[in-house]
Amino acid sequence: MDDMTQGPAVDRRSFLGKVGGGAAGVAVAATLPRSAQAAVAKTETNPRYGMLIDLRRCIGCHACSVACKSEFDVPLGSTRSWVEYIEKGTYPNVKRSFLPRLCNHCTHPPCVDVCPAGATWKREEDGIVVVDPELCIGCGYCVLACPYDARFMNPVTKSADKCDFCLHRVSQGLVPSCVNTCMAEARIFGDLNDPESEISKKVATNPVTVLHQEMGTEPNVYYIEADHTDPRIPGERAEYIRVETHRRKQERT
Amino acid sequence: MTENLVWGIVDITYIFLGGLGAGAFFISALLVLRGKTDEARFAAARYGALIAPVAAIVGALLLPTELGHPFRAWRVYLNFAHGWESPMFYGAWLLILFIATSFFYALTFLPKDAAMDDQRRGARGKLAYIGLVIGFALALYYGFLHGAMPSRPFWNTPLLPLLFLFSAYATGVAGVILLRGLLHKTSDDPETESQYQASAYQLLAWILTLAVGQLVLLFLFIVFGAGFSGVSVRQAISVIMPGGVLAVGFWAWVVVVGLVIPTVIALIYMAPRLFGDRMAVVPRAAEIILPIALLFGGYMLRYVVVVAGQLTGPVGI
Repeated sequence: MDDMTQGPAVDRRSFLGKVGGGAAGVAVAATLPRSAQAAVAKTETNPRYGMLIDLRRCIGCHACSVACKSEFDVPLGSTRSWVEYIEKGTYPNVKRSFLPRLCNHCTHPPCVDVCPAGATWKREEDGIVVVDPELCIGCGYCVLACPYDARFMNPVTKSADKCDFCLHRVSQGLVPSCVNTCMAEARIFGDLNDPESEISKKVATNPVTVLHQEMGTEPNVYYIEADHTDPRIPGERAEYIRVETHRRKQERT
Repeated sequence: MTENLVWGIVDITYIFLGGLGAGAFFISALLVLRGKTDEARFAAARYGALIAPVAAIVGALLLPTELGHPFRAWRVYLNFAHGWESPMFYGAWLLILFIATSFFYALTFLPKDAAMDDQRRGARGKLAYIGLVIGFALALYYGFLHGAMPSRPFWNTPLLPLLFLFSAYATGVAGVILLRGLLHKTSDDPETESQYQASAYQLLAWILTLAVGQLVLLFLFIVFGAGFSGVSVRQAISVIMPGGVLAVGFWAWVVVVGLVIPTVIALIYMAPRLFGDRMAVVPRAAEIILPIALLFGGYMLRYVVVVAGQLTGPVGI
């Protein structure tokens, strides 16, 4: 409950400005266990935040979507975080799996490249891709450039909007809202640059995949046992495939 | 189909008008720099010179209405720190430079006594050279703007800037032909009339070249896209192939009305001089119907391309 009360009390935007203080604290904290790991050659000192979603644990309950909606008061019809259902096969050989979606906070974010206003960038402090709605001119270029459809034009602020890994919470040492709420503990958030972090260990010891690896964006959101089936791929073997996006935009593009 | 569009009718109209302006400047500058000095060619150059800034300014005024924050648009111009990565940064600068150049260029045509060899020809010629380069870059830019995204397989091809460039020049020439068709007063003097017909032939030759060029580019676009590409591009191209949601828009309006009909009309009236040694005579009806068909097709090309690019994305997940 502490998390819940602390979140909204903090002005999210003000943290875009005071990057230095918060992130430096996190960086120092992250460095301590790392000093014991002298054998691991590391060049970066800043954290690189990422998420691992273990779909063996996900039950498709949409709690993450709801937590995100309430955390940011995301306008009706828009989604920062959502869950897709993938159904395939013919009875009795059927499978249903879930695919929670959010911004991948790519190492090479195409959205940042196309922004003409300098309103979106990948923070050097922690790798989080942020949008400053006060700088955004609302041209929609980034929305089109994202291969994950993770961005949208916010009808209230008229600026581009997307998941920011709950920067206002993370900079206070908390985990993102969707991670906090996940009752199946399917979401793990942490520093991918710290080999001792839970996420680093799990990414190292599990067969993980990322979405649209072929786009070369190097996402920082990993999945365990994700179903990459897409009905748009001709020749997918399952006779029946149905993807429910649970967004107003009902089809993947 | 169109409810999820991020870029809609404003973007389509803007890239049409920007291309029209660049194309009108192109033909006007060519007539000024390389043409003979007769009155008919000067009139055509004047039409082009007037269309260019008007189209570009209307487009530029329209463009911010699609922005979430139109009054922040100026920030793009000062974003030297990060803007160099974004095609839109260059496009914004090119647009304003093109408006400035074409505006001053048009001014040299406005005085009543303006002619090819008047005392303003020096300034006019310099502005023509500058505007040719800027207009070329601007017409090419619209393809970069849309094509710079691997996430949009329909747009992400080097053919797109060329296609928009050819279409921009074709619509610009068509704009000049249309104004001639509407405003030309037939002269009793056979010398004046033959000069008019000579320039009409010249303009039709450009239409023929640019329309056939576009047909070749579209042929390559479709053959490579639908035939020799990976699954994402094939899926993207399928929206304009038979059965696709934009098939009618593409084949009927872009290809037949916008390119094949203008090509045929141009060939019919060019044939006597092209294949023989008789004088080509272009009737007023042809000077009106051809450009209207071509301008409509040019608009539809942008409509189809802009919508198709947003309906489709990288296949798989």
